Amino acid sequence: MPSFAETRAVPDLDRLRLVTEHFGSLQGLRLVVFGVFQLMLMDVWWAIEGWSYTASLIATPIMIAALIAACVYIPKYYRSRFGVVGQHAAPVGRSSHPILGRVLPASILAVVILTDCFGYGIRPKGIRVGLLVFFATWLLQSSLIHPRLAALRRVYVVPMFVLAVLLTLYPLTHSLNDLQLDRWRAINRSLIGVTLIVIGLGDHILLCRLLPKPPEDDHAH
Amino acid sequence: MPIEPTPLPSPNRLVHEPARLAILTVLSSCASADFVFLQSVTGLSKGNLSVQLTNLETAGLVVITKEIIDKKMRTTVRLTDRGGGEIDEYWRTMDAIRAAMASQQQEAKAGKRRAPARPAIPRPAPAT
Repeated sequence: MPSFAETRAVPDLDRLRLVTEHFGSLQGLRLVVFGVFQLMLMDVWWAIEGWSYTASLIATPIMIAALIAACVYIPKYYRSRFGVVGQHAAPVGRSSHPILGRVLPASILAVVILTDCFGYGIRPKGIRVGLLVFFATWLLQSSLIHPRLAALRRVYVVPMFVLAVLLTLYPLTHSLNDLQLDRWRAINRSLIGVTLIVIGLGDHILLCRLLPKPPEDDHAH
Repeated sequence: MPIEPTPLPSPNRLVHEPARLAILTVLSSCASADFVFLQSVTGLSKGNLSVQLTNLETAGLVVITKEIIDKKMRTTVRLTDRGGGEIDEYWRTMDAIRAAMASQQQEAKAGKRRAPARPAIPRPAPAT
C-alpha cells in the first residue's frame, strides 16, 4: 500500500487517530494466548479422543512452556514490529463515559460469574448463558464507549456472537441424549477460548493491515 | 458592484505539510510514540521521517528523547505544549477557512438569485 508521502495525497487523519488510540487493544496475539490458556484450563485438549494419559502428561509441560515463551515473546514482537505508544492517562474515548467505562465491565464480570456459579439449577439442560451475556454486554459497551471502533470494521466479532447464540441455545431446540449433551457441554466450554483466539487473530490481522511495513528505501523530500 | 471576497486565514505551513500533519496528529492522540510506530503509522521512510522530526523539533513543536533499551537505541517523540497549541490552532484555522468558504458560496448563490434579470433584447419584427 503506497504511503501518502508517495502518492502526495492528504493523509487519512481519522485512521491515524484511531490506530494510535486503539493500538494496545489491537495487539490480538495477547488475546490468543489467553484463549489457548482458557482451553487448557477447560481440559479441552485432554477431552480429545485418542489422547492417552501419557501423551497428556508430556504435552502439558510443553504447552505451559510454550505459553510462557509466548507471554515473553509477544510484547517484544509488537515493540520491534510496530513500535511503542505511550497512552494518555485518561483515554479520550473513556473520559466522556466514566460510569460506563467502569460499571459495565464490572457488571459483565459479575453476571458471568453469577450465572456460571449459581445458575446451574435454574438453567434448562445446563445451558450456560454467561458467554451470551458477556458478548451482548461487551458489544453494547464497545458501541457506547468506543463508537469510533466501529470504523475499524471488526466484522469477525459478529459471526462469533451468532455462533455463541446458536450453540448456547441449541439444546433448547433439539432433544439431545446424555452423550450428545456431554459433547455439547465440552464444545460450549471451549467457546470462550475459541472466541478469544478468533478475535485475537482478527485484531492482529487488522493491525497488520492498518500498519503495513514501512518502505526501506529513502525518498527524502 | 462586485462583492470583495474576504481574505481567508492562512494555516501554519509548518503544520500544513501532509507528512508533518500526520506526525502531529498521531502525537496529539497519545502521550508519546517511538520512531518505529511513527514510521509504521505514517508509512514514511526512515530518512523522510527523520528530516520531518528534526524540522518539528527545531520549531519547538516536539521533543525527541533517545535512550538505550536492551542494547538498542529507542527514539521517543512527544508533543510539546507549544506543539499541542499549534495543532489546535491549525484545526481552528481550518474550521474558519471552511466556514468562510461556505459563507462565500452561500453569498454567491444568494447574489445570483438577487441579480436583476437581463433586459430583454427587442426582437426584430418578423418579416411579412
